[in-house]
Parts: sequence; C-alpha cells; structure tokens
Amino acid sequence: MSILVIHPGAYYHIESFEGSRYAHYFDKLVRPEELADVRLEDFNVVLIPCRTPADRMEPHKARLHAYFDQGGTIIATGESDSQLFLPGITFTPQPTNFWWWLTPGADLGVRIAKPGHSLFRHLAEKMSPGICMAGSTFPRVPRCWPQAIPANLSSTSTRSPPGGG
Amino acid sequence: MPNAPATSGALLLIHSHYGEPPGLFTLALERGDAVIVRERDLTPAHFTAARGLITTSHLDQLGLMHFADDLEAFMARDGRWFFNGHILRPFLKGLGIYEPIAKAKRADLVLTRLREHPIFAGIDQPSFEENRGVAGFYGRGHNPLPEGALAINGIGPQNLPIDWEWTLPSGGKMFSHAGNDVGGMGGPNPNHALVAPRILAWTMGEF
Repeated sequence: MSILVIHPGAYYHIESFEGSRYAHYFDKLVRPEELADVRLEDFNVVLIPCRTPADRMEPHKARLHAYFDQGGTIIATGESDSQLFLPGITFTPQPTNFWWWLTPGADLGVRIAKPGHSLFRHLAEKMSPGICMAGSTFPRVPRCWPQAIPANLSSTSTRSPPGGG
Repeated sequence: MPNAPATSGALLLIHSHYGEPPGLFTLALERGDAVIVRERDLTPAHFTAARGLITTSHLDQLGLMHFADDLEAFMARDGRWFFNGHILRPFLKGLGIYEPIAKAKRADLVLTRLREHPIFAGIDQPSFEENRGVAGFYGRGHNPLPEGALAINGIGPQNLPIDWEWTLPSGGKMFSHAGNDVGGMGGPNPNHALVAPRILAWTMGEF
C-alpha cells in the first residue's frame, strides 16, 4: 500500500505529515501546486487532509477524476470543500458543536451511515469524552477514540477543548 | 493615534484558508489602508508595498518560505508582523520551532501577564483562559523567545512565553501569538473583539 499525501503547509499539516508520530505512514508528500509533477497512478491512495484550500485543488480536478477512473482511492477529509474538486459529492454545512462533551450523556451527533464499511472494523460510533485529546493538529476536529483503542492515550486531559474555535 | 507611522504602506493580510476572510481582516478593511490577499496570489510586490503584515494560524508555512527574502527585507524596512500559530519553519533568522505542552492539564493552561503591552492594556489575561468554561483555545504551547524578545503573556506554571514581541536586529517588530488566532470577532470570548482594533493599530506602527 503506497500513500500520497497532499501537503497544504499549515502548521497542523506539517505536524501531522512530517512529525515523528505519523510520518512513517506516508510514502510521499506533495504540495497541491506540484500535483501535476506526480504520477498519481503510482499510489494506491491519495489523502487530501482536513483544511486543504479548495482553490489550490481545483486546477487538478481533471487529474483527480482520471485517477478515480483508473481505480485509485482518494481519502477526502473535512473542511476542504471537496465538492469543488471531486465528483459526486454534495456538501451540507452544519454548525460545529465544540461543547457537546461537556454535557453528560451527549455525543457529537455523528452516526455511521454504512456500518459494514471496513473502516468500522477499527472505529466505533460511541466515543468517550474521557479520551478526547486536546487537538493541536486539526483545530476543528475532535480527536477521540473508542474506549477500547489506544490505551496509551487514556491519560490525556479531559478539560482541554477537542478543537479550536 | 498619538504617533504617525514611521513609514507608509499597506496593511497586508494573508488569507490562507478557503472561504470568507476572518473577522479581523474584515474589520481591517474599514481602515482604508488594508489589502486582503489570497495566499496563492501572494507576490514579492505585496511585501514591498506593505507596512504591516498579519498572518493566521492557517498560514501555508512552506509557501511563506518562498518569500523568506522578501519577508526579511520587509522587516528591515521597519515592517511589523503579527503572527498567529505554531512556528514550524524558520521564516526569520532567530526564530525557533514551536514547543507544545505535553499532555496539558488545566493548571498548565493558566495565563499570566508578564509585561504590559498596549494590545492587552486593561484586560485581565486570565479572562482569556476559558471559552464557555473550557480552557486551551488561547494556546497550548509557545514559540521559543528569540534573543532580545520580550515575553508579554505566559502560559502554565513556568510562564512559558505564549505571546511575545521582538524587535529584530534589523529594526522591524514581530508579535508572536502561539495559539488560535487572537482578535477573532464574534467568538464566545468578548476579549477578542476588544483587542482586534489594537492588533491592527500595533501592526501599522501606531503605538
């Protein structure tokens, strides 16, 4: 499995893709402006991270569509207005609730639409606020894990916000 | 304002994220001397024409490194730069790389005014600590203090310099806030609306 990551260059991208915690997962980082210099078909997966400015991806729309056509996989994450440069996406904006985890019994309101997807072999719907981590990499996305997943994270603070605002 | 700017020029606001510009930038447009530039459209000429510069925490730091010489020259012309976020690239000689607080607990997020500064005058710094009872939005670490810089606000029991002002050897001034953008309008903490016009004035050398 080879993974190409789009690197828009904000501090949270730099920490996520160049920092020692995760850098070893990625085979190549590429700036949006340099996408034309890379053969996308050499990679199994293209990861477009949270908060990739859409206007830096729009010039590569045709290239990304062609990558899909030859069987490529793109992982497109939030706050990137993916509908502007990827096919078949309709985006419905929702306000972010930064505070749900302060209410006993509440959750973020996210529901799994397709439980059979292989992603959910590793992720559960019910998140515990007790292991939400003070997110320093993706300011608006809570970084939480199901109770059973990384035990080494269970000691992180519960009174720091899961995201910026 | 008591003192006229030492030099003339525009207030350059680099708009990094896609979508509407931040409230601070919109406020700046009311001044008449501000220009909002989409990051992808940035050119050396923007730095040449600028008196002040504001960047947000969404800054493309790899991209800005292409303008390192222009930035250096801008600062040497007595330019002022208000920087928000974590420094992960050496934009200017003398800057260090951001240091996060490891596994921050509530006590690590207390804020302390270390030195009075016109941007924060009359504002109790601990009142920046929480939004709706939650601490950490203001910041959770610090950009290392360059040699000769003055720490303005500290975080945690060690008063790590989360905010500092630095007069460069070349003459310009940089203000570093190592957290989410300060001066955001309309957020849950009213302090930000209070400091917003002051940030614009400081960046343009008006105090």
